[in-house]
Amino acid sequence: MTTIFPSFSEEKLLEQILHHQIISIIGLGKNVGKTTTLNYLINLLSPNQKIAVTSIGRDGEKYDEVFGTPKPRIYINEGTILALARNSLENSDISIEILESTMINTPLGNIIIVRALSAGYVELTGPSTSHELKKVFNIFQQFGSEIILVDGAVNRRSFASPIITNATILATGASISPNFDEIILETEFFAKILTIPALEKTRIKKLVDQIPKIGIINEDNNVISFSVQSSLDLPDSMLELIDEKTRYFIVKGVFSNSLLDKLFSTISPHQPLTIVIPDSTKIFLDRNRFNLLQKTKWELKVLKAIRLLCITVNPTSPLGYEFNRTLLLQELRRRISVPIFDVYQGFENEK
Amino acid sequence: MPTLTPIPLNPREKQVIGWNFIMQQLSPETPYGNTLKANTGIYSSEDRQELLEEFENIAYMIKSLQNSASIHEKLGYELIKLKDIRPILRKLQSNQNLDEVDFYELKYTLLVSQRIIGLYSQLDLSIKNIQFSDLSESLSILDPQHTQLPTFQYYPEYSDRLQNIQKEKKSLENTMFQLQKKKTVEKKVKNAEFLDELEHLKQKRTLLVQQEQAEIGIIRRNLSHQLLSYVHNFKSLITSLGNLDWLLEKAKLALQFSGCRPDIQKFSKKKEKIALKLEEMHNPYIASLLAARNRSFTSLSVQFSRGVNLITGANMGGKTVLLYTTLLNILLAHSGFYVFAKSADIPLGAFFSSIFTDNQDLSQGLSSFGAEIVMFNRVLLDHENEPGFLFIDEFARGTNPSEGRMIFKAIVRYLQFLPWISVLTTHYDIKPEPNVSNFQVVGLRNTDLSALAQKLSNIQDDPSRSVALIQDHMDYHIIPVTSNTSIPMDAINIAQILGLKPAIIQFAKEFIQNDLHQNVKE
Repeated sequence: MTTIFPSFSEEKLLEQILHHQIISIIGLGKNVGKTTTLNYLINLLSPNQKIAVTSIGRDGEKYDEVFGTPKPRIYINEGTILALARNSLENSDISIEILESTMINTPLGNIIIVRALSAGYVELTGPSTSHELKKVFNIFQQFGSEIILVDGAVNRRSFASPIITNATILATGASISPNFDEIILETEFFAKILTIPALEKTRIKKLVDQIPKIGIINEDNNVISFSVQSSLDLPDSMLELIDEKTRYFIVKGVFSNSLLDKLFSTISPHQPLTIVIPDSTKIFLDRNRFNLLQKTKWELKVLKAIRLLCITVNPTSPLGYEFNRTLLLQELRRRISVPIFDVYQGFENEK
Repeated sequence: MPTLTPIPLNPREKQVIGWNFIMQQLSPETPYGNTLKANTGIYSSEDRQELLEEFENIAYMIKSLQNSASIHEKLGYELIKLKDIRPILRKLQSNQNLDEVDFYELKYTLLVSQRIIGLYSQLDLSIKNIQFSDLSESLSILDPQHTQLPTFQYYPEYSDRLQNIQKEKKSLENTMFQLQKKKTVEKKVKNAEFLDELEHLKQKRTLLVQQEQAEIGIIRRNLSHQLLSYVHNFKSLITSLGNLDWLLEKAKLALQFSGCRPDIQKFSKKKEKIALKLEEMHNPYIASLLAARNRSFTSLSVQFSRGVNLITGANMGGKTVLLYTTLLNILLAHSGFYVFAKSADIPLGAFFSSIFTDNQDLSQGLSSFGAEIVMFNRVLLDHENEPGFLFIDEFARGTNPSEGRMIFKAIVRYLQFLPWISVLTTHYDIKPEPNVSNFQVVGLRNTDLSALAQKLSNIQDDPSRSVALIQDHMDYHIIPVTSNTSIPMDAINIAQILGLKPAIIQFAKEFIQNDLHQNVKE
């Protein structure tokens, strides 16, 4: 089969990981092979690389708590530094050296920083907030970690936020839906959100900086800020200030369905308009509305883009159904311009 | 260790007199210091010696803070690192085995403590309840390689068997790694063969992991057993660390708010003797409230005798503030803190009672009077024959004034015979009695009233500014009342300068004169 990404290879992916240093893996649902993706990355990196691994919340359980299916634990190499909850130490079979006992608490005990003195399986249960995650990154770096991998929990896409990690890998797969088309559409939707481009024009960026929460910029570069507490309660009186001269609509907060509906009822879809949001994790639009938005003359831009390195696909669902791997990959690749591969098979083995 | 009893104030009183404010200023760095803070309380008169020692210690610590700032800076940096090992010590004492995180925490604490001990010895202090002993013996259990690194693992020194198991496990893991590589990179192995082989290796590894865990169990038991004999040392270590931390906080508090070391006397058995003396005392809490309104606290001096001390004066004269500040400082001295004054002579009392009915309380009138009576009875019942302190603010203010005055007089009469220092503020003017010391707030006595009235007339339309202006002219000091001290008539003065019709003022003055004559005839 011919690959659509001639420039992509494991070597390239490795290069990207080494460049971005802090990588999160987020799953589009349960059992999409997120843990397998993490193991794949660990294997991809050289055993001499100083790797640190943690997760957000509890994950990597021995058994999937929803379906009761066996779930791979994370196999890490000797020398890896880990941040995990104290009670998870018992469920890991590596020999360890305790490096630090932090004050970060979780339901499974405080977060302990350990060095693996042997290879082995670990139950990865990390901190539960982004603030705590940042603290853990700091500790990792103090202990000389060069690459930090974060196993993001399911549906916690905010932890792909570019403010916390530098790049992201998305895991998707059959377990999302028994309907082939639905998997394609959902993955495409999500990938599009994660790859919303950054606002490039520095001139406009400077104007955007002046807006505290919500505001507009008109074609004559006139900036109007709306004094609101949150992006969720934009009064109609402010919407009246938006007219045919408005070129930018800036929301420094959540961009929701209701906000988009208000815009639809205020501005013509044929009027050129750039909607600027802080980053992709702030988008809370359903798929229909997002697609509707794509059909207008409007475009979405983020202040800080998430770097989506690749998408991994698991064509098998733990419920027992399976899709044709080639078809699934083909269809996704036709629609999404990010490297996509089946992590169980490996990218190179496809050729 | 002295036995401390809880501060005898209700939450509201703790707030208004400024006790809470003082406690909020104290933030010990260690969990051990925080326990001492939480247990702050009154020293009993039997523990007078300990109390005196505590003041001595604070004095040493203040000097040390002033002379060795750089060592103290380092010391604070180490203290903040200390974590609570008391749960670990409890585990040891109940014969539970510690795990690797416990061993780590203990080792970390010992290493930090070693540095604290080193810094403390440089301060060259000799404080009785801060005694450190050498930790190297217990530390060497957790640091067999003497690296002094704050990390922990099951070291090879603990067990040859563990070392062998881990070596074997490692070589097996290496074999597994090579096998994987053969499969994925060199593609030399067939899938079924690969899986068989991998499964075989995994099973072998599982066995080794079990052996490793069993051996670690033995090491945990051994180490826990060895450490058990040092629990006593660890406990005395954390006691000293807590005392050091808490003493530092007390010394810093004294420096921050210019506290002084109180002179602690035995409670005098003689009546009329000056028993309680506070020179230029202040109240950091009320000062902070005043500072927020760009005003400053007038430092106050009091000399109270055993028996009854009456303070009279008009509203706005700061009588309540005087009462709160005296009580705050007495309680601080009894709890082992420096007091906020230039100098202080304080007798060691057995109880501290205060009757402050809330003048902001909506349920005024009979109910507040009723509450005062109930509280007063309670104090009599509990402490009638003990030496101690009673503070009453405006007794019977909420009841019928003529009866209220008589009941107040009666209480003053009765209190003269008790072994207490009673301080009462009142509106009622009471004729001097032999065992009663009378004080008056200076108030507007020395103010040029016509000048003040002139200033007030300029801002007539703004009542809040008028009040502020009067406050500015108010002299909050108190002076003893002698037979020839004139009646201050501050209420009349205030009414006058606030512009009450002169005819009414004239009537009031006449009534007062008549009243005085009648009193004399009585």
